[in-house]
Amino acid sequence: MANLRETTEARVIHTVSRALKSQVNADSTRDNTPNWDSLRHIEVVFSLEDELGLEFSESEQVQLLSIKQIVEVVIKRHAA
Amino acid sequence: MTQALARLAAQKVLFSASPSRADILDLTLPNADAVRVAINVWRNHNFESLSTLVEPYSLFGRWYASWNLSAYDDSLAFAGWQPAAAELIWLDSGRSATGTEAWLSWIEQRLQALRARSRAPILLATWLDVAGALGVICERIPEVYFLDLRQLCRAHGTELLNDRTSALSGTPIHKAAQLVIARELACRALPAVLFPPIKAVAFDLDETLHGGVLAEDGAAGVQLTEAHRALQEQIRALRERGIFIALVSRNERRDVEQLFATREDYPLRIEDFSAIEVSWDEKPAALQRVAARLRIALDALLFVDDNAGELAAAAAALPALHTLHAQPHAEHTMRALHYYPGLWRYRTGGDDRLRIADMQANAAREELATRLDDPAEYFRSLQIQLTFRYNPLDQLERLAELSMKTNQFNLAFKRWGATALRDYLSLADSSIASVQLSDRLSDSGVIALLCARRRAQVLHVEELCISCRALGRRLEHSIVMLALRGMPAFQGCTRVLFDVALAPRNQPALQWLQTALARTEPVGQGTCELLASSVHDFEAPEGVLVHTGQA
Repeated sequence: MANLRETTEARVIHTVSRALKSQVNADSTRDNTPNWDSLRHIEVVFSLEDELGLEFSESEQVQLLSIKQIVEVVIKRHAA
Repeated sequence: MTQALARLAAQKVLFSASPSRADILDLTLPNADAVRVAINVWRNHNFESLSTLVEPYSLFGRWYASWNLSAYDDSLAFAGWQPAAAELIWLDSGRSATGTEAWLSWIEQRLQALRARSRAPILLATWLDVAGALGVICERIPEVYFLDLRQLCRAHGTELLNDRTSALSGTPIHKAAQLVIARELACRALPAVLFPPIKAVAFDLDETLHGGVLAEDGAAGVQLTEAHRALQEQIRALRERGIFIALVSRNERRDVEQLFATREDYPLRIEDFSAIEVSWDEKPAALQRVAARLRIALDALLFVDDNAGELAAAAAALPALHTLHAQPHAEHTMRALHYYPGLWRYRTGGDDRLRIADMQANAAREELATRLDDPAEYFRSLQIQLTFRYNPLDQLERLAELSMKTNQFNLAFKRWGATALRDYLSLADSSIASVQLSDRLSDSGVIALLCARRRAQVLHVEELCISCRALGRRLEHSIVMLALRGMPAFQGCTRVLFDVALAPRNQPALQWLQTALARTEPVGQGTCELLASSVHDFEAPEGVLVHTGQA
């Protein structure tokens, strides 16, 4: 489980950094990352879907507000 | 050279079979030599996320948009309108609560309202169950074009709408459809209304039109894969639309002739090429000869070659030239060619298709011109006919093409579209003349446009262009004089004023005016005056048949 979390977190950080064109870390959130505006957020979600091969439901989309929350949603998906 | 290489490198990503959104957004294309174009966007759903995808594609085509985005407005009030090169209506038709008939009536009224305000081409990008009816409405209004997003996505096997992400992205358009639409907007739909067209495509031979090397593998050994066959058929289709096809290859001429004579499986025949440059000469020089032979500017020529070095060298030597990198898998070359900006048009007129036959007849005309010194004998032998029409509403699209595209014999460079020409006709004492040219070898179609207004006893010629396909036939002066003499606005005038713009390539027009005015010094920017008596007294040259057509 720890391995899955670490792997997922690394992929999420990589994908979000690429979408935002700036480096983020495990503590990054929409609030503390200036580049993570509403327009970039669309690219973040689409990039995560493409990279991780999944589609977020509408209720999941509203939770994707930080790296930690994204990792939680993705891990739940894996567990489901 | 680095800019050309950066574009060629990006080509693989942009035109891959399944382009990745992240890969496209990662691209950094040069914009130093790209043209900035202001585009108004009237919308009721998100366009921003699409515009970021448009940019890499448009920069590949050496342009980028400065978007003037409206607020979300279901009523299309066009608030805050400002002049722009194009008007894009980006409409989610699903937001309307009215029935289809009422919606069609409403959108027609809104298009008319925008048409009355703007002279720029209008592109309506939306979807509707009765798309055909929408297309008919758009055809009724000058320079209004319909991009049917549903049909576009259907043709690409892509879902257009997706409710799941509409709240997130502010548009019901599926993320995959956004890629398809962005590529279409940047490469086809917008360039078709914004820029002069590509008039000719020059192809390398080896590893471009077939696999293998002719000099090494021989005519029987080079490979026509299914994809190469499809590419050759695509090239033939371009020719049928009036786009010149040229061959530029480092080979022996006799080997190339033997190849096309013996390979009956090749869809392309050697006579399909309007210009052939097969030699060991440098390709930039060969491409310049192709442009000269086809009487086109280098910015109307696209060069397709498998050798990136050759392409970069050609682009460095001829900065206006367009370049495309042929790939070992010809499907990629086909896709990139399909999307190359400027190759696709909304409408292909009869005049486009006349172009190739007309050019092929030039060799015979040139032979006659060298053989016959007497102009009357030359005109009679060609059976030249000029047909003049005044204020011809049905020809405004073609006349707009002449104004927008002509570079060499263009005196005033007004670059007027069909809407501007229609507006011009509504001015007091204005006249528009069109001139059609034919001879026994070919019909050249409508080849000249003159726009003039009378003020007191002065006829002010504000636009004058003659297509390059009509140049070199000793007719330029006759075309202008006879067109002016027949203008309703000319009657009673004592002076004729010409607007003159100095441009990089309009020396033929400037030279004509200098000769017409019997000046020793070149004409300059501004206006030049000609006595009306020289127009009154002008007689059609012996041997030229002159007709006056219906308005």
